[in-house]
Amino acid sequence: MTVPAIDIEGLTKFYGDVRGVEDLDLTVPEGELFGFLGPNGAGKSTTIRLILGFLKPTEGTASVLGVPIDDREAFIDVRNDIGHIPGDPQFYDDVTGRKTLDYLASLSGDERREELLERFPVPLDRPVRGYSRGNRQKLAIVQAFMHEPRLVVMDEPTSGLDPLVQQEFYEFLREERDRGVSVFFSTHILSEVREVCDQVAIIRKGRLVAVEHIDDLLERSGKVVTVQTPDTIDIADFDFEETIDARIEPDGSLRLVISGNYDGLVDALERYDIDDLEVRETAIEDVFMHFYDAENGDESAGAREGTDDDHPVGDDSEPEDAEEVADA
Amino acid sequence: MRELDIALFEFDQRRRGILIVTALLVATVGLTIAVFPSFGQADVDFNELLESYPEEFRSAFVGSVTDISSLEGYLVVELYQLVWLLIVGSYFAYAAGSLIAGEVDRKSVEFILVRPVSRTRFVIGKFLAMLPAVALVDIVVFVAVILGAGLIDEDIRIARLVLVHAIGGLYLVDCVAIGLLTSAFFQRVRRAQGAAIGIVFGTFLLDSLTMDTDYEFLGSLSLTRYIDPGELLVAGDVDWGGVAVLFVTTCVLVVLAAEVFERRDLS
Repeated sequence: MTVPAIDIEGLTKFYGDVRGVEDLDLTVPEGELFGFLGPNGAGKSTTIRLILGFLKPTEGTASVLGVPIDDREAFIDVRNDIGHIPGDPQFYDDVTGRKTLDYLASLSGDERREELLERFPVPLDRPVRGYSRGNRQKLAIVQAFMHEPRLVVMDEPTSGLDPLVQQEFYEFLREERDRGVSVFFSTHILSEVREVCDQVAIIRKGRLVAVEHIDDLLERSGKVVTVQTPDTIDIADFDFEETIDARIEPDGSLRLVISGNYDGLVDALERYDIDDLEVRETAIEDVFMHFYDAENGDESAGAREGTDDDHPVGDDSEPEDAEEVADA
Repeated sequence: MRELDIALFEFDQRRRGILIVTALLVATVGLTIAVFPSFGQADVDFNELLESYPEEFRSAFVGSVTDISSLEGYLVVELYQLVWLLIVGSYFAYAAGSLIAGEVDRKSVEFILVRPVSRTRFVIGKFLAMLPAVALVDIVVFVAVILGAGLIDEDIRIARLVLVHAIGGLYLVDCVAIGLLTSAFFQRVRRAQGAAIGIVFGTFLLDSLTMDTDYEFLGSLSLTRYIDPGELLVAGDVDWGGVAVLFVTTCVLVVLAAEVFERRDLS
């Protein structure tokens, strides 16, 4: 039996009273491209920083490549096999890209820097201070993969990359996966998940909502129908067997997700004047909206959720000292 | 030796700052020594003037020296007691305050700690980075004092000067360790540096103000209680107990910094 790349059990992190993530269970198999999807502040960065040992869990634990994160000694050696791209990576301003890579290579080795730099070129002899966001991101990619890690954990790795480089990066990730490398990365971009992931875990407000194979997700999805009518819509008219989801949009139009045939729809539409009718393939967005909404329904701790919204936790807003980061 | 890689990289980034501080200190030494001959020729009896200062002021800025007509006594008052213990000490505590906090603030620490480097080794590497900086400042000022004394044709006892700089260097390393600990604890540059300077400055004042009062024991919290440039340079007496305290404090502070950093979230 192979050891999972990442195995998370009941992982919980509170910053004081503020929730980062709560009771997270997740297994990332070896050799997969695994997406970790959620809106900003959902707890994606917190999770990543927990499994890399940067934060100490309030409760629960995790193993990375079979080594528990709380085993201080063993977790040092296993990091030979881990690569990481932090969210919004900052290097050493006055140091050139080359020297930065030399330094990081001195700590963990460097088997394939040249090859990576050919694919993701950066102005190596310029100080990083002058790098664009995209170049910094490329430097981060090179350092994360140059020591041939078995697992790479990335926090929104494509932010700042231009579309061409993004495509190149997706292609690169698929090649790495085919060589047996496990990749776990967070994102809030749905198309990215659709394009590269084998599986995706969806997180919302610090809790895991679903883990799905992308193929299954897309197979289950149907057609999106949008109806514009001058009449008042009774949503009950559209509750037929094929309907997955029906809702009135803020602009007054009707939006349905339907799988199967259109008989029920055609019958229902007979009762209305139609200004406009559009039928299209579901985008992955529609599929995910389903998860986000479903969660809304069964959250019993409504009041508490409200507080969380006022003080979003996690990725973009750590609770303390955000204002002081600027002095670095 | 990953500590050494970390230390070399850190030192490399700080080289320019250290060179500037060294140059400023050399200028201070030059000015101080250049003034000495005219100081001796003045009609004022400076020793009398010294005695007329309040006790607290003397213990802070003059130290144990009673005769400043010799170059040694003069240097203790003008250079070692105030500039070295207070200003250079504060500078190294301040500089060390960003050793860890700087990397946490900017999150570059994640590139390091995701590699097979323990947090303890990271802290030790950062500490080691400051040793050549202290050594550079120490040796250059030492040489500058000897050259300066030579230029004004004054004798200075080199063996005693070596003592001042050896133990004075250890004192600066201690100040670095204070900054290292505040850096590991606060993980924010401004806060860590503020706390480090506050500790060095505050305990310096505490030591001076409580000297010869009922609260003198409070001064034993200050590093300056364990080093007396006047005793070293004028009398040539070494307080080995004090040296031991400075050395042990340094080790304890570094170990504490490592342990604090091991246990804390990087946030």
